[in-house]
Amino acid sequence: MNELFSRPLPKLIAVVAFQMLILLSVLGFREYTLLTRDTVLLTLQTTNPQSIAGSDSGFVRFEISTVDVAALPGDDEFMHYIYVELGERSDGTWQPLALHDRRDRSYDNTVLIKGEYSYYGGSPGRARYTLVYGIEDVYVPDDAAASLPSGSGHTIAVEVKVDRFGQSEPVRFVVDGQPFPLEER
Amino acid sequence: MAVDDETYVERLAHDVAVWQREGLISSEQERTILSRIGAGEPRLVGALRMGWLVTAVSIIGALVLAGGVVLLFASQWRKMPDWFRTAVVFAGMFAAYAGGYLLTYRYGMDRIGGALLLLGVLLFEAGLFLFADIYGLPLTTNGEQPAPLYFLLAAIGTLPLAYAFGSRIVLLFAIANFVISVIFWLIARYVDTEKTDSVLIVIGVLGVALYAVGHLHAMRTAWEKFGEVYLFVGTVVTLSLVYVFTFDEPWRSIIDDGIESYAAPPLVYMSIAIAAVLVIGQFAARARDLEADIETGILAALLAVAAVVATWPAWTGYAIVFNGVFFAAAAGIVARGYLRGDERYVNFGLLLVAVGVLTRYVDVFWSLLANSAFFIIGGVLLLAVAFGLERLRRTLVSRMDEGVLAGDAQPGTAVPREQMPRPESARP
Repeated sequence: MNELFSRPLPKLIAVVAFQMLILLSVLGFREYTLLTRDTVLLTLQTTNPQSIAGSDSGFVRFEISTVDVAALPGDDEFMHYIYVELGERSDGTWQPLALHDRRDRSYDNTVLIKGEYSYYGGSPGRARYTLVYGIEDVYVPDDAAASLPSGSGHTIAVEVKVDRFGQSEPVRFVVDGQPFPLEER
Repeated sequence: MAVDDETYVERLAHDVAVWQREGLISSEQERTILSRIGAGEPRLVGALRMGWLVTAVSIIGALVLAGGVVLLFASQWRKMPDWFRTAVVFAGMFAAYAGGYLLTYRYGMDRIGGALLLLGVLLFEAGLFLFADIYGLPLTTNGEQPAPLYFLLAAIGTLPLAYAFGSRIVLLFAIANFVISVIFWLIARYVDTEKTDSVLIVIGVLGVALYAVGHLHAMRTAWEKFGEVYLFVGTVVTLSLVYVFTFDEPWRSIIDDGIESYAAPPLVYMSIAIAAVLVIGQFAARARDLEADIETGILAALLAVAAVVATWPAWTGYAIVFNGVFFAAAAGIVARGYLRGDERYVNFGLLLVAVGVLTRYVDVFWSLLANSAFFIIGGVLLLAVAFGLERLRRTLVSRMDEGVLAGDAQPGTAVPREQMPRPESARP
């Protein structure tokens, strides 16, 4: 074995194989984060299902798209992102429990979702922020939109996968407990 | 001619030109030395001296090419499908390594071959970041500095290549990645906390540890040349931090932030302990001589200063202490170069002295003098310092070479190769 690796070509092959292994480990880690993602159900602010129907509909706004720093425990100053710590309600939807500057948690059995924020209003220490999670540009495709109920007063939510870094990916709509397909623009 | 001999001859051809230019040897002596190594023909001498140029151009070429590839990816990356981007990363690495291997071992062009190996390493590191980007892993920590993990992986993947193929530039690249990963990790972990300042000490301690590791390499003959790289990086990292601490601002900021004694995290003391073990290890492994004793004493003193500063950080007088450490280190490096007969240390030490003097001048007089007076006095001072340093340097170098040459050879006579002064970069 020693003699084999004293020659340059086997040495080079071994080293390059090791580097490939490291590169592939990045892919492996990504697969791991995908496999270990949590699923959360985020409620929309609108109660009218027609507002999510078809590719012409606008951006969706979640209940957690606006957060009030004074109303939630955790940090009150943020650098680049706000990590919203979500807890599950009895109806299966998820609500914010705390706000963090980093990926820290205050409670057990919670999920952190990362949002980019902009100042919305309020005073120092009682600021409100608008958050963008990168999952707002979604709609029910035209062929399925015909099945959406009409009128207001409906509970509309989006099922979202969230990984360990707080990155989120929308999966489908849930309107009054019924799943509807989702597409991203 | 073996590669090592060839390298030696090329370095000697380069060095004798420098010695002749500096007046240390006459043109006749230069020709005699070159004849002795079989390079009396001017064209052959020119060809030998071009070896360094080839190395430099090759390395710059590898860096520029890698930079170009990364820029291309950055501008066109999103338009390419994932599988193609992944294939491009692997293909680039394979092509660089295969080219490096063929040029080095099939065509004997080890300088360009070595540069292509470096290109392969650069593409490997770029690949780490590009893969993370392709597959949606975060590239930054908390949206700020780059994620340290990728630098650490780059260091881990690069080290075996450096040792397997004896490449010091690849080793330098690997160690630099490791140091960067530690710095970014510390920033990500402790930024905006009251421990931010104290964990800076870890960087200085890391430099001491790298220096000790450099000496540990002397235990194995085949690894001696790698030791120099660790010594260099260790010195630069430690002195960089010492330089930062020569200013008043960090210490004022510590006091303003209300950082109390005994507030440093355990990480600081753990790093000091690990560095201390390495320092003791290198001392035990080295041959006992005065230089080893002094050097180990300095390393131990640095660690002791680090421990004291970490434990009782709130004192503005540390700026004076670190100024003392900085200039003492510079003087020590000059002295070492003189004692060893190695011009590189003398030049580096004198450069540190110049940087230190200039920094203190700007630090003290910028706010006290009018702009014009500041620059006029500064310019005169710089010229005076440069004059003094050059005189000192020439004196030291002359004495070094007189010491080496005295008694062994008369001017104008052939010098046996084994008695000739070793080239600068081939010295231990």
